[in-house]
Amino acid sequence: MTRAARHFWRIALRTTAGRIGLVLVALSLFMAIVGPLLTSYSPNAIDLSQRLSPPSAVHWFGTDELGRDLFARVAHGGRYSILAALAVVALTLVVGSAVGALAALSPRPVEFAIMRVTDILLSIPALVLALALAAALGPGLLNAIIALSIARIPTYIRIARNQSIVLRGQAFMQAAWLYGAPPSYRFVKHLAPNIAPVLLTQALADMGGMMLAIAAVGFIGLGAQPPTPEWGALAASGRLFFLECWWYAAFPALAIIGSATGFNLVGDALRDLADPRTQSEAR
Amino acid sequence: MVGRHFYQLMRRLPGIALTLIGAVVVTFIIARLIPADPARLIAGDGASERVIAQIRAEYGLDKPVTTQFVQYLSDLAHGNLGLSLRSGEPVLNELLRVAPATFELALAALILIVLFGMALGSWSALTKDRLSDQLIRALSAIAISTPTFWTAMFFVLVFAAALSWAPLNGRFDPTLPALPQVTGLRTLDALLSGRLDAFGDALAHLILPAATLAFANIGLTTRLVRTAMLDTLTQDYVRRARSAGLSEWKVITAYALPNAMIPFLTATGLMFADLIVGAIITEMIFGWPGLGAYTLEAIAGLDFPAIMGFTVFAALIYAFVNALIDIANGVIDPRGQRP
Repeated sequence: MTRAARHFWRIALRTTAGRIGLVLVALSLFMAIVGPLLTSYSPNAIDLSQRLSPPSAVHWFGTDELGRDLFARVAHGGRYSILAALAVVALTLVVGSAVGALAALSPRPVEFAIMRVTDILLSIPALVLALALAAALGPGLLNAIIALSIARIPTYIRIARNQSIVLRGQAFMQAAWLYGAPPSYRFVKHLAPNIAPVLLTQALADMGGMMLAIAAVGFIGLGAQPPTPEWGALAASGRLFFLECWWYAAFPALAIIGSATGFNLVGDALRDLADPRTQSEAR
Repeated sequence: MVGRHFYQLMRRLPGIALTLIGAVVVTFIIARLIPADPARLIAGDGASERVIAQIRAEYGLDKPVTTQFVQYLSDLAHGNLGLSLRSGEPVLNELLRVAPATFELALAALILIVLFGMALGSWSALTKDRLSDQLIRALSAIAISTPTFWTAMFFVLVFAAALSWAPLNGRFDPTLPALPQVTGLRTLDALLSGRLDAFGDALAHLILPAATLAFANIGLTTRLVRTAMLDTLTQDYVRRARSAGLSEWKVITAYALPNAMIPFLTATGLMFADLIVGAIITEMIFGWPGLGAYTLEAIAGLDFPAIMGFTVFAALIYAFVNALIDIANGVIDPRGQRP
């Protein structure tokens, strides 16, 4: 294990909330990776004789309107939901950091142009921007990932650029510039390692929110399409029956709550480290 | 006093206008340039080439993009957001017609958020690391991580279906005699016309959607208030007030809370803007006839003028709320102001 990874574990495990968060994240990952193997049902196997049956020893989470096993569908859906959130976070992190840092290293007119465009994108509510984009791109999980990323990237550009302009004035950066190091070298060798911790913390803290966003877009019908058992889309089909069959929407929703809470708690534990005032005594 | 703040608002108008023009450009790009062929999208699957060509001509989509953009900007400058593809009505009229319902919902949610957020956050901070604090923090963490659609379905399931404390959906009981429209906020209109039956009905319809919209934000606000309170409680002036022998209640209400309000105010302002534009799922599940439900129908019907109209409208709300927050912050906390 590298030093950074060890550091991460120490911080995350320091508080009770962080420990609970890690357990929830581990459970969600376990559910998504191993869950589908725990049941003999395929997530798409239709059995009309078993339609809308409540949770039982046979169907742990009950079945849907086509008699498909909901445990298999929720476990399988975790792969889509978690991977989609991860994709959004990774995309925003990489693109946002690169653009923000390069803006800080670029000549003034370029920096000005990049930051004005960023300001404009930030002036449109992220949710509205994402929905408008998703509507224009057409429904689908991949398009939802692209839409949510574009809506979120400006925030990362801002953070990366603000971090970078502080570093820009430091002696070691000035020295590199005086020696004629090209922007790409200064970015990779000097800037990136120094802005990475802040941006990575932000990215990890974003995971929970992005899981909720993916689910919301899926629920509205602009994300994953049936029969993909993404949690938001699953809950949306469960909504049609939820007054009679509570379990249909409840289990995907519980899966979202569990994993989003987990990611949020871990993210908070990391963020608290940067702001000692909010810390509780470590136990 | 008022004159200066009005002047401050006026001074911000050019900035707001520039931001809005930017938002319009982005919206235009999204609606006209991202879809490969907007006319085909509008016409729907299986439309004949002739129909598509007709639509292209009708919406000016056969002209160069720059011409289209200039046309769109000049329409906007005249307050024309275009015609809805579904109803043929001006989008602006439709947005203004549904906006009061959302405004009422967001306002009710904001009241719940401020009340519960401040109470729970202060309680949590004052009992730091005791059981109540742990419990409140755990509940906040869960509230923040709960998808709105589940909060809504859960409330409907428990309070409307099982307990019958509130109606399932809608904004009012249509069998009641009609109410005169004054403000567009049904609860307020009912009170203004002295109709207690209609007020009770409006409130009963309002409470579940408002609680849904407030739920996650109460979690966020509780945290924020807790952090701000913990911060102020360690300040010298609070210690001084305590050592001067003031009662704990006086110390908290007169010294700690007002100072903890400053970060809270900014967050609440932004939250209100979020509540107005972010009520989509809440309105969808409760059948609340506001901006969110309107936008959702527009998205489902690929009604791009309506989607663009809502986006511009949302950017406008954000820009104004941001300006107002800055000014309000200046009133509460005059430090950092030019003399």
